[in-house]
Amino acid sequence: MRTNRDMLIVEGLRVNYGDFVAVDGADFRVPQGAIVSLVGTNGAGKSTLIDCISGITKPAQGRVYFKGENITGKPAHEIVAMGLTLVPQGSRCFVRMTVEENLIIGSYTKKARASRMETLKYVYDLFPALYEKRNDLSGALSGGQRQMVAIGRALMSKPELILFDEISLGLAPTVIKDIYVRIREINRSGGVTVVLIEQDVKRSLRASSRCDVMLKGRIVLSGSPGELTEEKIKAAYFGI
Amino acid sequence: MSKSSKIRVVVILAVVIALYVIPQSPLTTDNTMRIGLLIALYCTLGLMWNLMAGYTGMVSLGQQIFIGIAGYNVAVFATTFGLPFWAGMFCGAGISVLLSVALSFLLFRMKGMYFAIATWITSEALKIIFTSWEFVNMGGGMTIKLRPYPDVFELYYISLTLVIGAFLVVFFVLNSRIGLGLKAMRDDDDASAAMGVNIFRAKLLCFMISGFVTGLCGALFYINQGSIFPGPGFGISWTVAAVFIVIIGGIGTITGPIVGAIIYVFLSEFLSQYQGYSMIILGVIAIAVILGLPYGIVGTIERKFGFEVLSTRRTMKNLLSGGRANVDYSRGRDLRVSK
Amino acid sequence: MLRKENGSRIEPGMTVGKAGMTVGKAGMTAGRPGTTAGKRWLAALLALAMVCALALAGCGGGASGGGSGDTAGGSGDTTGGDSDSASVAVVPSGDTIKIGIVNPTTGPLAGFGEGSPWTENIVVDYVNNELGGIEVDGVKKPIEIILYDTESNATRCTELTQKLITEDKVDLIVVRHTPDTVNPAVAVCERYEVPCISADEPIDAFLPEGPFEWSFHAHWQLVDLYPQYLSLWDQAGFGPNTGAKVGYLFPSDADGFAWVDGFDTLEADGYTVVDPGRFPADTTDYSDIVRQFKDANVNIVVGCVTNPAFSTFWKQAKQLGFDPDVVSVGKAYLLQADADAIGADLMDNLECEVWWDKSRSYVSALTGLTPSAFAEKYQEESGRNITPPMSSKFTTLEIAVDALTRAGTLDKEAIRDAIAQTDLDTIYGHIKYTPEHTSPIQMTGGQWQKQADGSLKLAVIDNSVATDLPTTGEYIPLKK
Repeated sequence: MRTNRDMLIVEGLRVNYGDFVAVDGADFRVPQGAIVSLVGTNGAGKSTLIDCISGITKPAQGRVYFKGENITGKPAHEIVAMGLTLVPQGSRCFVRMTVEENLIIGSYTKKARASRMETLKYVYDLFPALYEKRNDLSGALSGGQRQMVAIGRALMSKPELILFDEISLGLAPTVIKDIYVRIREINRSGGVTVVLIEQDVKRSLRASSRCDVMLKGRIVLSGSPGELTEEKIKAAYFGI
Repeated sequence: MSKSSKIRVVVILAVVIALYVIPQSPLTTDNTMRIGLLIALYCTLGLMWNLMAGYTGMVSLGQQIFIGIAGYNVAVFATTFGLPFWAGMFCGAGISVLLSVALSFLLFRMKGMYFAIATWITSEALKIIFTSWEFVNMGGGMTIKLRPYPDVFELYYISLTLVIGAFLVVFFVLNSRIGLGLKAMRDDDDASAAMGVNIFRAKLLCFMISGFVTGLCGALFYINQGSIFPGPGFGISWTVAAVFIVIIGGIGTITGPIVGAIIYVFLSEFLSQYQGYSMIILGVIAIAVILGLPYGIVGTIERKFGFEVLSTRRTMKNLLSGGRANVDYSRGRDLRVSK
Repeated sequence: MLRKENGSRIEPGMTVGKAGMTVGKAGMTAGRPGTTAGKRWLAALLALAMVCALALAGCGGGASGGGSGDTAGGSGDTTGGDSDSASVAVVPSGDTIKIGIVNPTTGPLAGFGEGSPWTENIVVDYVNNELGGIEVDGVKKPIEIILYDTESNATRCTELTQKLITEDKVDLIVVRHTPDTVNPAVAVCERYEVPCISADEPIDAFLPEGPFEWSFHAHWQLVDLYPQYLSLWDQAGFGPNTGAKVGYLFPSDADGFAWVDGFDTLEADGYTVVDPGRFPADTTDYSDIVRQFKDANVNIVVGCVTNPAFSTFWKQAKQLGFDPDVVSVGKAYLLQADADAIGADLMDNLECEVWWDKSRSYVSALTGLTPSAFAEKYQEESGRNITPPMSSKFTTLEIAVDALTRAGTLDKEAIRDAIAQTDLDTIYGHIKYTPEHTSPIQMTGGQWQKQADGSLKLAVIDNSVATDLPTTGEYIPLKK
């Protein structure tokens, strides 16, 4: 069932918040080296799904495999150490720390620490704006810059898979475009597999090599941008 | 090491040496020692509360747990078993650590105000337990009997060593990898977990350090006092003092508690003339400082002059080399990553 | 009202400060909840500290009816002019004999603190004006009192006693009122080797802190309490071996545990004990205890609880239809103000031990003052009833002056030895210390009785333990 090509496999995942079922038996796969986008309306369970994958929330049922290893219910810090990193919604920078401290935090795990000098160079190279602002408190940055800090911070952990949670939320279109360029660069040059959570169907189709649609806690449609037309996705998106 | 940081180290060393030498001068009296002792102990208390609230976001209202436990340990060891005070002191601090580990499984499930209230409730529960525990003379309290009783000079030197030790511990913890994780946790604990910070372990470490040092501090407080009662021993006023000291000094600053403790001790000495109003005056001062100087005295000065007496800020430079080598990674920007 | 105003005023202030920090500087969403919450809790904590302070101060004013204010005014009237202000100086000055006092002026024990420094000033004025001071080392020196408020907090009490000894350099410490005040101060005096005269804490709570070298204590002892209560019950027809049922109202605090030990021979004396156990001292729901008493047909309620606790218990007992034959409870209505607070109808014919009252025929050897004259003087100058704890304030100073006079020096060991040899008639009774440094005082049995004008009066109805003391009333059965 599992193949080496799939870096992440989620099987029948179910997450409850009390009586509310946020994720209801979702199946989800991410091939190695791909950019997979996960679209869906507010409350479809996308964020819960990836929070659960990255170990922040615990599932009630189901399994998560990363690089062939069962990581279901492992604590977040162990999952990061394995090379799976989340860029949380709204960037969630450490606002009372400088940009550089934020980045250094990214290399908190043992594996990442060994090469953090190189990674830091790589991040500053990718986002020159961060180098300029490295001694500023990250709380003082603009929304776009904070998003860069969050991405840079995630890169510092030397991930093999990054999950981006609604990275474009609340940003200006030009900034979004710029950030998408960086994400593609990370994928191509860094060889990092990417999962993008999005609400904008058009943008995700353009950016990704595979697209999954989530509705009411389940994955209802899945395929490559070639197979999926915008209409098909929209129908699945709204459940019509 | 840069010139300014050299000067800083020299100044700090000079102050520390002075604090050890001054008491030998003929001008110092029991009274100056008593005040120095109180400042050292209250400063330690503030430092430990600050380590939890100011750096890791765990607002504890239960520091008195460790004070009371250690105080009673000293009393039981000295009075019931006739052992020397340091035995009770270290055993009390040890029990505080064990207690903090035991409590962590319960308390760390809660955040923010729930954590604060849970710590307070724990201390109230201990108060009730000690009030009805015959072994510690129930509500009647215990007198600490030591022969010979350590005099105020001895206690001053022990407390001074304790407060310096507490500073070193806080400084090194915050400058360690875990310290970085702690500061991240204070801003956002889910996000820091997503970055690989083991939240439980980091919090537990802080709670244990806080328990141990506050325990030693509480033992010294009660050796100085000579008697302990469950009410005041596990009373919230210990934490109120710590909060006052930290807020006045500057929450999240390393040197804030020194300023806060000096102000607190002199203020409460001075206010003893005004029967019944001292708490109100302390409260008014705290509120005025919060409104006027929201970062506390040290915090405001640091912000205004961009100067930190003891910094825990990280740059790649001091992280990699301890500030010794010249690592100019800015050149790294020219290194294009191959595409 | 004051509380609320202050409490709500802090919160917005805190939030403004916070907002200035995070929003102004950061202007973002993610980090904010945690940080604002942090500071908000600090605000809440401070608000709480403030409210506690105000509440305690309010208590101090309320329970004793503005005790400290009234008495300070009273003292001004007594002596008139400058001698008064000099007698209770805060700043130590000149060549005087300094006596340090820690007194619970505010806080939950403020009822005990009432009457300071009015009472102290009587002695100070007498010594300085009538006697011209005390002769030490050949020179007559005036006495000077330095008095600090413990805020009813044992920690503060210790710190202030240390301050008195090390900073104010007093020659002698005087301390009274409850274990929470006396024991911490005594411990400091023992450590710093300063003579200490104490009173107003049962001897049984003082002794375990010993042995003492520097401290001397006078008050009643549990040994007298038991026969006194039994004698009160006997008057009501519930003497030993009458099969009477006794309900225990002893909370889980120092006094509760001490008292319950004092009654451990009850069953041997033929009583049936109904003990609901040691309950938290601040319980507000007594219905369960009341039901247990009612179901067991309890005749006698005995206990030692605070005034608010008893008030709640007794009101709930009435509501639930529990009507015992005798109620004898310590501490709850020791002071007139406490009894008045419960109300004359509810208080009528309730019993308690009396360790001091103005009817006693003692005479102060030092000043010639009698309890009744003392009470009248206070009534005249403050318009308030004298409280038993005020007698302990007076007596500790009588003992101090007597000992200092006999010592004739300010050498601390000489003063200590002089105190040990005290053999003195005081307003508190005759003081003569045992080798354990304690001097028990006499006890009688009392009953609160509603007068024709609706006021309450404590009548001494039983003197079987101290037969030389007068009774001032007859036993009246508790109405059902």
